[in-house]
Amino acid sequence: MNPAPGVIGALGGDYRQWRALVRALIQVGFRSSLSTEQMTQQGKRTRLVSWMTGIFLGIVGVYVGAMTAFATGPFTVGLFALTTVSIAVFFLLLANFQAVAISPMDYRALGHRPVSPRTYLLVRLTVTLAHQGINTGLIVGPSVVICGVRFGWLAAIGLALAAGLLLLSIVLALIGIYAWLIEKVGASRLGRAMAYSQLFLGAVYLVPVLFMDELTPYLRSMEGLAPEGWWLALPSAWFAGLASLIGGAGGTGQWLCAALALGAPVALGWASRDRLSLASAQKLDESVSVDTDRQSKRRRRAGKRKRLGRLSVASGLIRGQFRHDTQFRMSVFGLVPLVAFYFILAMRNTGSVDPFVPGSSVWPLFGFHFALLLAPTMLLEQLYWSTSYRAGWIFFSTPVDRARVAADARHCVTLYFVVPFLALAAACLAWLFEAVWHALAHVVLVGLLGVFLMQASQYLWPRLPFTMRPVQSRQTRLLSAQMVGLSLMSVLIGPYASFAYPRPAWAIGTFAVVASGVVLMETRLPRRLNRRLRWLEAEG
Amino acid sequence: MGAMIEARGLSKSYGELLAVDGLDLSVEAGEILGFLGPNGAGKTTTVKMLTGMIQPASGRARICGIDVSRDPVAAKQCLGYVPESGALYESLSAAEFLRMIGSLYGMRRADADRRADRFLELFGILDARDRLISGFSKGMKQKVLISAALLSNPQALFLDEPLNGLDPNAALVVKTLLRELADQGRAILFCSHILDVIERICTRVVIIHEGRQVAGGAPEQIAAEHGVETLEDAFVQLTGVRDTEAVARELLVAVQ
Repeated sequence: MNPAPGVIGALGGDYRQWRALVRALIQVGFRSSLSTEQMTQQGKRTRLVSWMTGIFLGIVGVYVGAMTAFATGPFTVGLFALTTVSIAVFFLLLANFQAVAISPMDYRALGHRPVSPRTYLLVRLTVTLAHQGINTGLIVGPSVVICGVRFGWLAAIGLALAAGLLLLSIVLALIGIYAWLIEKVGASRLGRAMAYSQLFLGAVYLVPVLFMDELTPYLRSMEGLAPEGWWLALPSAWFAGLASLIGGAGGTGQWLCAALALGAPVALGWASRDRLSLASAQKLDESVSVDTDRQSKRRRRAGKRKRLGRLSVASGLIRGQFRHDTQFRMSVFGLVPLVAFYFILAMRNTGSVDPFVPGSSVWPLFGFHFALLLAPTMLLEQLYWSTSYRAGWIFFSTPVDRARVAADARHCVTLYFVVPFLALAAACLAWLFEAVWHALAHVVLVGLLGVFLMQASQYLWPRLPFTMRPVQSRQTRLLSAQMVGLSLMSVLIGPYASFAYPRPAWAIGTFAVVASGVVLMETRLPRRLNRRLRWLEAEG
Repeated sequence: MGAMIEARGLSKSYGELLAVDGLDLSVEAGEILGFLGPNGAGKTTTVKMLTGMIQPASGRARICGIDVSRDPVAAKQCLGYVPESGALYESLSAAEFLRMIGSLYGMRRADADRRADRFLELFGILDARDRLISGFSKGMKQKVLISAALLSNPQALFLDEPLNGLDPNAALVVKTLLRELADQGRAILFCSHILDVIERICTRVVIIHEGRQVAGGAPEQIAAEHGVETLEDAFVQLTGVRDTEAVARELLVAVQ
């Protein structure tokens, strides 16, 4: 017997509508937005990227499983695995906020249909859970198996259940926050409020990551953890406590955690039950079309700014999108806490991490390298996706030099973002290394690698700025695929630098090779962009 | 019969811009009301308020006697809407999209499929039923939108530029269909800038300008009231700010 009609009915939704919309929106999410002809051409690449995402999350899952293999109790296993899940899911949802709370497309297609707010909330919830459930399963799966082998199958079932409830709570919390903002904040301020909320939520995202740092030593020692003290401040500990309770432990801490873990989704569901409706998307649309006074003042100010030669077209476009495209602004703001986190993690380290000094421990620099490589690559990626993608016709129907527009967009990212970012990184590293020249040299090398990666991304997949229709699954897959490559690269940079820097010939050779790579790519790119972009078709 | 579509004192603002200002409107069963106005007059905003897509700041909208603000789901159950621009999930095929729409109105899957196929066949795009909508031409997308609006056999129809992108044959089919639907007792609100189409198929016309109704009645009655021969002349007189021929001449100079 299918329990779904009863459950959906009990939650106040219309089962038939729920089923039809879930089926359709999952298809919409997973399918590429390209035309049939384009899909045929792009199919192989899409499949490859999907596989890479699966492999990446699978590797994370195996790593988490391996880390927890010698933990002394199901609570410790659950805490580590579920904290990892919460970080990954939170990050992926923040990167695609429109898939969680609202989708303007839903409003346009369904706003006049007889769909109640409750049914719509259940649909959005289910679709998001379906997308993120796969990711959660990949991350927590190996830990569930380990839990089963070491502590019995009840503990494994408990962990799987706890992972599901945690995922549900995260999704409900984000839906609640965004829907509350849309409801409470006026249309004229909504765009800004959404962007700042992204910044705030990004900072919240850092909290469990810092707990992870504290948690790791417990995995290596035989000392077991219990659900008590400061651990209870970490929501993933509540769900780990529930897993531990189902697994057989019956302390006060476990019971308290179980109550919190079961109460969290109920409370969050209650809080957001009638908040989200199709009208939410309409209000977000409105937020873009008002506030004309402020915009005209900004235009006047912008007119006084010094132009940067031929970059002005691309930089004007990027600045304009940043001001008016809420999704773009939120993606950029979402990067700030991520970068800050990796910086803070590296700065918290004590002891020498200077790769110029033989015998230094360079592993803590991983996060630094990751941030330096990830941020520009992600920012460049965000430049392509926009809800205003239809305006891209301008690049396709005017005699504009498309290769130059694409290259200028990358140069803007380098000039406005990478250079200031590197200066900040150099200052931090100078403090950490206690040697300014060492810091400068290392930052220049990693910065050049970052520039090379942006060039490589453009070489492999040339696109024009703000011309791609944002599709959650495509963006998530690309993001995950990029993270695989960047993680590997970030891990390798440290050991290689500590090997090469103390040897002058190797050091000079390394700089020469990377710099030559950048120069060579810069000279080769225009031809490639010209050739490929000439045949690019508008996605509108 | 009573009014199937009714608006009383509808108002809506966007920031400081008053888009619709106390608009009264009613469409009886069997009537096709032409809803006219220059760009930005508030036509689409009015239609969105009537279809429950946005909330009016004040006033009341009723569809088939049901208050749209009080019971939006029941009101939406009796209306069909063809919006002005793309309101389609383009990553779905036409058959999948129409099946989904049918389910939203409580139709059985087999019934929805059967009706959808019939519409697609009559519009001449049955061969494309399993192709993704993203690969459709503008006219084909419009045919899917019209099919989606008619799928649930609604009593009140809202059509915002429904002939956009349609070839002359398909446009003729739609115009004839609208007259037949009205004859069977449906109420139709028809927004368009093509005045000769409005004159030919609408029983009554309402002209709005800057959010307010400036004229209403049969097309010939409006023309007569303003001392001109055609609805187009009356429209220009009521909503035009400058001499159209002079503007065209100035534009020509600007082009050259």
